[in-house]
Amino acid sequence: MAVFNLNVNGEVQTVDVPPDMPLLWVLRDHLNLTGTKYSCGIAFCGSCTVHLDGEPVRSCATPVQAVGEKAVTTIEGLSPNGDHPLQKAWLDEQTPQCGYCHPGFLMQAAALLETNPHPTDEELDEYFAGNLCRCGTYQRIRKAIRRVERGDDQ
Amino acid sequence: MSTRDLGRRDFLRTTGVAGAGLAVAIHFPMGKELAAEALKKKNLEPNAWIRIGGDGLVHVVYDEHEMGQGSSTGFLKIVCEELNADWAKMVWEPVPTDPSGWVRTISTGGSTTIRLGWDPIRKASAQAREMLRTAAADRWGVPVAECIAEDHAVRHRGTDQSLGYGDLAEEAGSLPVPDDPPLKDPKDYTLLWKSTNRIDLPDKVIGKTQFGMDLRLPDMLFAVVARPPQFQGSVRSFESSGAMAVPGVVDVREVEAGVVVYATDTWAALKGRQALVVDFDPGPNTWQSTESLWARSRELAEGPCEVQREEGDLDGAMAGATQVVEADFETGFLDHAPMEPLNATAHFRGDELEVWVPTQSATSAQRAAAATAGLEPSRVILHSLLTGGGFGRRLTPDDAAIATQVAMEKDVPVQTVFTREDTTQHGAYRPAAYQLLKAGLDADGWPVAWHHRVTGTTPAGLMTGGAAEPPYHLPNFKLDHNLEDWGIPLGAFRSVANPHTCFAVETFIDECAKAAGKCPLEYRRHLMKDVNPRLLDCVELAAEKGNWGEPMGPRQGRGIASWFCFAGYMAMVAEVTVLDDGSVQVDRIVTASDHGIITNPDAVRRQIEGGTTIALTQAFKAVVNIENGAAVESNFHDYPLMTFAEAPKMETYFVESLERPGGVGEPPVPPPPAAVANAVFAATGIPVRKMPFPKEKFRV
Repeated sequence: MAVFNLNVNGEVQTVDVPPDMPLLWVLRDHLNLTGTKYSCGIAFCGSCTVHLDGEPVRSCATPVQAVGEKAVTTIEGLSPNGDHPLQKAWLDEQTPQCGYCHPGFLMQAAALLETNPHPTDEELDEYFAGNLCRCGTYQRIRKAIRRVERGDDQ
Repeated sequence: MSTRDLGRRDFLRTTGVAGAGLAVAIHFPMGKELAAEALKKKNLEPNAWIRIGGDGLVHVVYDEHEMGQGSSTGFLKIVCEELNADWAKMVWEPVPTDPSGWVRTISTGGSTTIRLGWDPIRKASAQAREMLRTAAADRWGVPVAECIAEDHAVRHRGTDQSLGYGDLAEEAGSLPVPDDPPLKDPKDYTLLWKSTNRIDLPDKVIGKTQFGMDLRLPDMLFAVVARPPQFQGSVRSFESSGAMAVPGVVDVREVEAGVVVYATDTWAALKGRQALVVDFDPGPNTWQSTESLWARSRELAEGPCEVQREEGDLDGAMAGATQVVEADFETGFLDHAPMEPLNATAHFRGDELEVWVPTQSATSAQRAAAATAGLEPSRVILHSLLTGGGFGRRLTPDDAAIATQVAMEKDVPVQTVFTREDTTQHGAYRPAAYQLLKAGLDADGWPVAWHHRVTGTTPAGLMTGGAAEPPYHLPNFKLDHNLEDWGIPLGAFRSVANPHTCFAVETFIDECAKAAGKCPLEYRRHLMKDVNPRLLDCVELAAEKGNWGEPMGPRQGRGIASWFCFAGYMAMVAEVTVLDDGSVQVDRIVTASDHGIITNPDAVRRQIEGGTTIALTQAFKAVVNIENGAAVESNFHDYPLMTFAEAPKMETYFVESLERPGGVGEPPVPPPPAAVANAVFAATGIPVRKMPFPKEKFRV
């Protein structure tokens, strides 16, 4: 066990956990941030995606000791009032079905659009290769991203 | 129907659970607060589902399970429409926590929420509406016939006086409940024709929705269970010192399902289980493997078989046929693979049990938990949490039952987590099926004899559904089966047996059409027109929108498939390109469907898209293999799902209809693999008879 001071959604959080505990479980079980989801635990599905200094990472495969001073952003911290353009577009397009994979998709998409605001369809295909959805909302995710591009969410 | 103050009792119950959060319990459109005073005044509660308080809010108990199909929204819309209420004043109440005392079974499967709720929910809403009108009429001293219920108020036609539903609720609440209130004419609907934003989505995009695994209670422990890999295996012995040495692990116990590691967080429980040493007895079914089960299925096909349905004189008609077409089909075991792995939380208090489970059947979960704990069902408080995917998996209450076994060893709440590996390897699988089809065609090429045989595992209900009445004129017909119990855990996958029976029938019909020298569309037109005209309308629309008959390039093809199940009519045209390595690129899928009156068109489209995607997993991606009496696959690396890039371009069309609502969630699942297989057949001349599709057959 070791003490870690983590910067999570803009606040410093102190936890006392084994250094190899994945960030996913620190968030869910020690910081009560259950928006980030467990689905596979082997970094194959993307449901656990959070940002470290704005970069998308799979928190199930990120040991807490690797986080250091990087800023952790979870779905709860993506926007102050649920008004990130992607969140609005997700509602305009009525994208989620069960909703379980969508925190991961939103975090992945948010990081993408920061660096590549106009991705091609092929780039989207590559970019979401590691984000799985069993309900089959992929077509709507694509449409929601196009809405943000067009500025429909404004 | 008795009146029950369920909303309040549920409210009090959920607030009694400290720290549970009310994220799921009550949803308020427009973010209104629930005024405590409103709960104290007498309400209008004509039946179990509806309660209108002095503040005018309409509380609706949605006694089904929202798992992403959107029927919670559809259900509330039905009430709102019939009641002529303001959508902004509808309140979604949670599933009752005592299903054993509820007015009907609480179970969401079979695409029934809207179509079976259609009559009782409209009636329940109409009761409320009529009582409000009567209360207004009494207040004003005018005939009820002059009182119009509209826009959340009752207005007197003559004098234009108006009273809001909230103002009338208390008086209306003391009136007798009408037994047979008039229902609104569907032609007068305003809300139900429109698409409405789903009430469960706002929380889902901000990560606020509480799924089963997100439940956090004071003093809650986390547990994982080491279970025998073999379905019929058992625990011989175990050694717990390694597990107990992991920081955070607090106990190790044996229960019926296996050996439980209890810990203060999930990670410690997982590490504890890794450090556990368990000696498992593999049980009697180690002979079972994918290959041995196919071999056994082929043996079973030699008979004798049990006849499920028979018409005419099959043998005579087959003997007299001009040509005979035969094919056999293999479709493997499937795991539902919901994105939220199975889990449930339970707190055992001796004479009472409290369970929180993301379930598709509160009734079954309560019963299973009660039976496990040796309690009457009414002693089990059953919280139905929102579920990250059901697809039929969560109709099987092993999650609640095992979580109860686990919790009974403790006096605090325990969350039992079934990891992705646990979930995949201890599924309630869609069974593998071996199918034979044999048709005798007459001189014009029409099938006059049709024999469909299904072999494999019991029960027939999971194996032959849909095969007894294919949508074709087949005058001499036999469906028979030879099934035996293999002790493999099985359950209803979305659309149950229809995905594999439709696959066999719809691809076989194309083989018959080819043998007859006829176009698959023309073949279906002839055979379907007197048997299922509504389905044929879908076929025609799909063919039209799918550009049927237009030329395509080399190794490209169009295929059509249609099916009627769960009261939904669905036709699809798939366009594919077969690549040189044999893989199939699905270029477009066009669907045309008839669901009767649709309560939320947008939500229905999404169910069709989602159902198509999950269906194609069978064709291209994943199957559960058996080896040594255990499941082989364990996670998404070897049980892959359809990816973002693979989701096909789709166009969805509806045959407009004023008929009763039909099913939505399941009808889209059977046709896609058949439509794609028929497109591959058209492109290559090679029939597809297995799922997953055997790529090597189509390689150049």
